[in-house]
Amino acid sequence: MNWPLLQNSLLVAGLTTLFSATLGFIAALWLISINPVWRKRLLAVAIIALVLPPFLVTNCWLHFLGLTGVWRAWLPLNIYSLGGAVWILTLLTWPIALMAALSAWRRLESSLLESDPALRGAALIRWLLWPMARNNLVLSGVLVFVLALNNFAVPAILQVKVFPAEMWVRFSTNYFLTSDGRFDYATAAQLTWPLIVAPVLLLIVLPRAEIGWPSEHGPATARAIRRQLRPGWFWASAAVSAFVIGLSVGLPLTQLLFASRTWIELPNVLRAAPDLLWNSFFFATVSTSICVALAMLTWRLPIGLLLWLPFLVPGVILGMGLIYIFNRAPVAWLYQSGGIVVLAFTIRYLALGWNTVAAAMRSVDCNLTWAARLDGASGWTLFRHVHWPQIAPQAGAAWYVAYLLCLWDVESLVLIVPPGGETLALRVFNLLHYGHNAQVNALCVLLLALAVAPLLIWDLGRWLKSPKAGFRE
Amino acid sequence: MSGEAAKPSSDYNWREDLARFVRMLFHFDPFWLVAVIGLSAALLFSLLAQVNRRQVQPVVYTSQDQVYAEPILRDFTGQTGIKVRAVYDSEAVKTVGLANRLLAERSNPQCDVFWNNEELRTRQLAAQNVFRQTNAWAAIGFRSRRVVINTNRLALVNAPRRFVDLTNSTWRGKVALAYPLFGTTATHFLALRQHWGDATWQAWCRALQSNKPFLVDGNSVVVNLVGRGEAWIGLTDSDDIAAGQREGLPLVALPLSEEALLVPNTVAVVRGARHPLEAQKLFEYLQRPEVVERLVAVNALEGKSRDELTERTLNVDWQELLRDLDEATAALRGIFLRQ
Repeated sequence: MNWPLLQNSLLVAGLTTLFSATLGFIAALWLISINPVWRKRLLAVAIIALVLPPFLVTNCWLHFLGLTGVWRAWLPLNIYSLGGAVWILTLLTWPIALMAALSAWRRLESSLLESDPALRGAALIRWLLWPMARNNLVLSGVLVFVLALNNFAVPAILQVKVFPAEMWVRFSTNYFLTSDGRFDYATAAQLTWPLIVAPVLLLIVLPRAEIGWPSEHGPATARAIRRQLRPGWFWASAAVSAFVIGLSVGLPLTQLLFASRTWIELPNVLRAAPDLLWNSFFFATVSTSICVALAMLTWRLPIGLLLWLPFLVPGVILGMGLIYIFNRAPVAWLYQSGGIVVLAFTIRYLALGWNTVAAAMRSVDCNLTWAARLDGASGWTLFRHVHWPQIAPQAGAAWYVAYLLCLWDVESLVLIVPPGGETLALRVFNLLHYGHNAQVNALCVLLLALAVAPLLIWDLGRWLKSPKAGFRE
Repeated sequence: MSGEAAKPSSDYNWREDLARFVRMLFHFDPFWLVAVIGLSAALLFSLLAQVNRRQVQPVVYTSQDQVYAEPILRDFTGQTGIKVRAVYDSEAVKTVGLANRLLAERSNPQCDVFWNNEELRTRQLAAQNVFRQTNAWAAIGFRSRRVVINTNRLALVNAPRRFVDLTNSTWRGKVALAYPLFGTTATHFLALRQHWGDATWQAWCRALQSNKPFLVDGNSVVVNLVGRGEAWIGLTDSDDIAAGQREGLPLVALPLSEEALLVPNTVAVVRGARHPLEAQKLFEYLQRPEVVERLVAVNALEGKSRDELTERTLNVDWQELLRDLDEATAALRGIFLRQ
């Protein structure tokens, strides 16, 4: 066991989680107190940070702060450091905490704001907003911690030695296979336990489920929240959010979109990659939908902690396990099809959807449930009219985060992808290896389009349901 | 039931009925979820149904650049009528993804032909009996491991000529290389160990490490770092240098020396291949001179045969290298993977 590398990894992951949660929380404070239309637009912009490939963002910062960086003369910060790795990983992951906090505050009641006029500014955050968001933030913190802990590309470029390097070495020399070709559980367990223990400890201290307080006065308006937040907090959070959005989205996106070769290559890539586009969308959509649907069906089972296991183990080990289980005659039909990718994504990301939906289901308004039961509602009717409207925001957020992670997932599927089942992310890494930077940039643009596609489809659905579209009675 | 009651009323309007149904669907919030799951399931089943149809097509696993491999496989299909299904390797697993997969699938092989862009993994797999018993694999063409410099930072005449020079304090913090535990960089280091002997090699590795080089996760990253001037000198593959030059980076590769390593492509037929006849045809096709020439023309390979070279390069005893692999890797890990 390489303890210094493990210490480095834990430090990078821990600091990234802390900064990411702080920035996400501050940005959520601002977004919750602005007009919902602008909130949605800014959220969509912030989410781009999540979808930007790590190597692209790292190269962008090397352009500014590298040894020959254009800002280096007047901003002599050393990007080749542990701090640099934390900074870039924070910029890549902060929207997870933002979505987590926003999703929790959707349940903020207007009566809670009005009950005590003294509840404003810091007190509002301390006694109301923070307790409401705490559970979601811890969950998002675990997610960020795991993503940062497993990231190898960013620390490697910035010369920070981390534990995943040790794992890659073993993977390329020992293959996690015994001499007779069987999966070597002992080596796999020996190498992966450090990556599992820390997040599991975090999960164990995760606060218990929220109490499902009755909802009587409807959600608080942005105007009311802004009033209670006071101008100082509002403008301070606005400034921090604008700064973070500018650095995490504006800078890399500008580099990507203003490179003329990106647009020259885009038509070629589009012509060559319709299958990739479809595969990425299909695998991500189906897997995450199954995750959320399974969560709705099984949220009462005590399996929340167990489901995190496949999410925490490195994707290549999950892939090796799936080959071992499914590459045999009775289930070969699944192994030879795209179904194995859907299965891998579902297993890997079920924890995310399941735990979010289960937490949401446990905190639904019990008064409403009882009232509906007295009126004879049960089963599907109860779910449709009482539970779903309350859990939809959290379920949607979980679906979307898992969808984004699936879009960029390479590790889980690289060992099991069937011929013709290649995704955009896989092609990006393939091209990257051989230095086709312009094509990589063009594929990144396509991935960005896929990432925002569900938001656009959702908005289209809302528009169709609106009276203007004429579909409502 | 009377006949009149069963008859639809005359004022029935199907359009109204359909519109009411559509309105109901849109009113029903989980409609989108149900629609997505239903559509996905239908598509998944259609995808699974294709599996049977694909049973007759051979599968090739290749770590050759997809941009170059795809047209060659397409031409093979054009000439023989055999459609090939390909799985390409990815940088994300340090180019050993397919080697791992071949080992993991050994009990029930899915791949027929393995087209690798280097030699060590192929030899390792051959030693593990992953390939067929006779005429298992062949080497085609070659790339090389090169020293590359940034011409804006360093004049060609001042560039280090020997690897031992890279440990001079002049180049402290100015050399970039991929972790010598992965891919062709690892092979190159292992070959240098044979060339110099273990003691000299370890001393050189230690001196190199203490000279604070940029250790990155891939050869293309080395080219990128040298190209943008973050590092002045890089150890990388010739095809990565060519890719960097194509991107307009100010790079030049130093000439081959006796410390350079040639890295051929290899093509192998998997033991227990499901399509042995088609696999054999592809195996032969990929060794044809015109295919190798095409790969050389696009810089995926540097030359057609080692025999055409006049320069001396590292001559590797592969049996010895494979025998000492674990020991040497442990030494590399101790030197380069420390804090």
